[in-house]
Amino acid sequence: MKQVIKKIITTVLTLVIVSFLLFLAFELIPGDPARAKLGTDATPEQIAALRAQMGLDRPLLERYVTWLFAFFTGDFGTSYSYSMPVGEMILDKLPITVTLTLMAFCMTVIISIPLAILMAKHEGGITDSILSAINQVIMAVPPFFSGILLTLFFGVLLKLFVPGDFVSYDVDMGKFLSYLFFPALAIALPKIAMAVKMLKSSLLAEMKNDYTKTAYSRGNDTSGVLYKHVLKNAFLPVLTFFGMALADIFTGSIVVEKVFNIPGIGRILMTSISNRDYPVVEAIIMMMALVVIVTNLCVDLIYRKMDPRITVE
Amino acid sequence: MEKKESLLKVENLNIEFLDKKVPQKVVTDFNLTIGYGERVGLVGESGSGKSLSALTVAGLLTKRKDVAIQGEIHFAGHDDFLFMDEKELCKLRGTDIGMIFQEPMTSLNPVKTIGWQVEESLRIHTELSKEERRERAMEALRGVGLSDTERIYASYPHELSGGQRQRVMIAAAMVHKPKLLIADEPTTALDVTIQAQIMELLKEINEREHTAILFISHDLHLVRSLCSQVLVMKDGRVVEAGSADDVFYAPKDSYTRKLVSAIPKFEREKKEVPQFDKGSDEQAETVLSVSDLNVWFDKRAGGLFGKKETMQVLHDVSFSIREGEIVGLVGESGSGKSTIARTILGVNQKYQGTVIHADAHPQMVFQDPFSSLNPSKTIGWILEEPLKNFTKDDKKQRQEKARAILRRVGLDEEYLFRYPKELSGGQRQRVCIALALILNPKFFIADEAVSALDVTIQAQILELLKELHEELGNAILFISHDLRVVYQLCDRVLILNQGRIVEQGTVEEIYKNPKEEYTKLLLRSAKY
Repeated sequence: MKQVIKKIITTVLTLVIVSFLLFLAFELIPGDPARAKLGTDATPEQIAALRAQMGLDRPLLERYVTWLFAFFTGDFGTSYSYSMPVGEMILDKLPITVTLTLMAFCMTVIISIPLAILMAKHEGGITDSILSAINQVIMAVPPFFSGILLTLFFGVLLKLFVPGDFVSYDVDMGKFLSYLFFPALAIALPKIAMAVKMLKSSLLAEMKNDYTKTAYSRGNDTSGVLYKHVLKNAFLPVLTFFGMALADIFTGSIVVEKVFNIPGIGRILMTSISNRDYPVVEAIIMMMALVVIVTNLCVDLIYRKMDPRITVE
Repeated sequence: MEKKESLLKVENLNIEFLDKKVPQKVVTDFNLTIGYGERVGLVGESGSGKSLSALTVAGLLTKRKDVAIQGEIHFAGHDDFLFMDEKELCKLRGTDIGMIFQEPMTSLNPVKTIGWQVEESLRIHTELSKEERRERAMEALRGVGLSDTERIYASYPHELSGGQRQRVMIAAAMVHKPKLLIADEPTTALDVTIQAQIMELLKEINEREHTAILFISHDLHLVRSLCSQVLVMKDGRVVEAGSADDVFYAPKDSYTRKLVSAIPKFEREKKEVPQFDKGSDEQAETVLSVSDLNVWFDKRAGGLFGKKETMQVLHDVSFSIREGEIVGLVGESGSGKSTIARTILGVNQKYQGTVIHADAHPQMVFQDPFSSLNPSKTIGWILEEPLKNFTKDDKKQRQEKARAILRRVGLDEEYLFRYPKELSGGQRQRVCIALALILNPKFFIADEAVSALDVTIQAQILELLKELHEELGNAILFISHDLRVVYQLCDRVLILNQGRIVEQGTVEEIYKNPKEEYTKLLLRSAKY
């Protein structure tokens, strides 16, 4: 328990460090938000006035601390370009991206595990060979391209969904979810392929361990050895991958949102970057960092639960 | 059950591996009979086919598609044991046949509790309730001499010691009270004192439960202490079978004779070269002197705030080695033997005390000749490397030296151009010895240098070490867990227990007249 608390404190510290680096990075980027907002014909006086109004004339550390505290109280600042609270902007779009992420992640887990077990069980057989070949191809296709292919095939040819006809969750939940199905699949496909490859090789490696011989000697058949003994051991190294995949899907959904025309976080991020709308960009990046770090923490905690050898350390 | 004299009868068993280009016969015409409650030993070196035969008897090989098996096995009224389908076999494994293996750590599932694993056979084969299973598991754990069974039941394998783990393995194999227990090298990975305990336990279980035991080992000596009948295997064939005493004292086959004579015994020839081991000779130069050596290890808990804990692994270790002396350092795992070696070599820099040696670059022969040679370099390159680093020899001189030393350890010149993987274990260990000697040191360390080798190879390497020593007169710190090997080779011996040297003296003194309790225990266990 004590170690878990330590772990959480470490996580919070990491977040603070990340936030400082992030803040610093935006300080060092050439370009003045005040100037950007006012355009090229603004007088130096006008710019100075706006800088003062935006608080840009105060010392760096002071601004950082104010920003950080505001951040923790849920005040993410005001968007330069839309003059509306950043929190509101993000909160509105967050459910879309989160839903997309979770759908893609669930697909990854639900499809990859049974598939890997099936392939490991019939290793070297015809099923395994065919699936391995397909797997290899899928792994090589980036999500945006599989997104285009899925749109073509299921959208344009089979007409299972109308490309671009996005319905928001507050209008029609059912239509919202069914629209997200194919984008989620596009994101999930390469992850599934990776997970299958990893879990399968992990399963096969574990099957060679001595304890499987013991398990057989106690009267288990191959399924018994696989499900009761090997699976949990083989899953341990793959757990890290699933954690990384979750964080990766969340932060990487930008491209697929673009392909499928989904107005999620990714789209705000893209426009904000080109508008030099720093508060929005900062808030989104912080949120992504948070997701990555918290996912890592969760993976660590799950490890502790699953692998009895870790707690001794 | 119908009347049968024997529990297990194996007739003309042949095993072939089919995955190679040419099918490879690994067991030929293997016959074995075990009566109810009998203890039978199966002895052979690595690659002799003993484990494969045992796995077949346990019904663990028949499911593999790359193996062709012929012959007949009758087991406890089942006449078609070899050709039973997997389902039927599963019913026998864990009920009538139990099995334990060499490495208890890896043979137990690391993420399941001991209780879960001990109960497994019951869970698979019986309808017992949870409470009844627990009851039986507890009984089995007590039956293998474990106290504190409540704690062990809830523990995971890594929380137990090596000896406890092997006891747990035995408990799990015995929980369904099998008619036959197959023990495949069950003590090889264990310390000598633990080995003695496990052997005692197996004997006790056999007498109490009347379970027949098939004991597989490379150690004929050990087999004789347990078994009444012994089979000796070589290259897949049984070369000799008979009562343990006959095989041991009056071996008929030439291989068995070789095997018996290769066993290090508690006897030694008189030293022909007495000039090195005159204890009184104060003139002899000291080649290594270690005094008041203390070593601590940091044990750091993970994370940013992990508390630093230190653990003392060596306590005031002092000893010295004179020119031409072979000193044995004996201790069980975790006693700090390797830490002493690493400190002398300079690999471990964190120590208190003084270490003075005559050679600037002490050399070492390691336990595992398979991993201690770089697989991507030729033997010639490997042998020349220390010369490149520490001498000014030119290429020609280096090659000449490498050739000479290779001949000296009994290998042809052509081996200079071979890679480690083309050599056998014994040949590799010869290369390792050549490597330690190429700088012509006054002293080198041999850390369990013969432990990983088969007993006949071990005898050859020991013979080589003796010869080289007589010829070159270099001092050796010979680290080993094997008291018999030390007895044969060394002049003096240091007994290490939990980081302290508890006793030291000449081999005769210590072995004939040990003073410390721990030394006595070691010697008693080693006589097993």
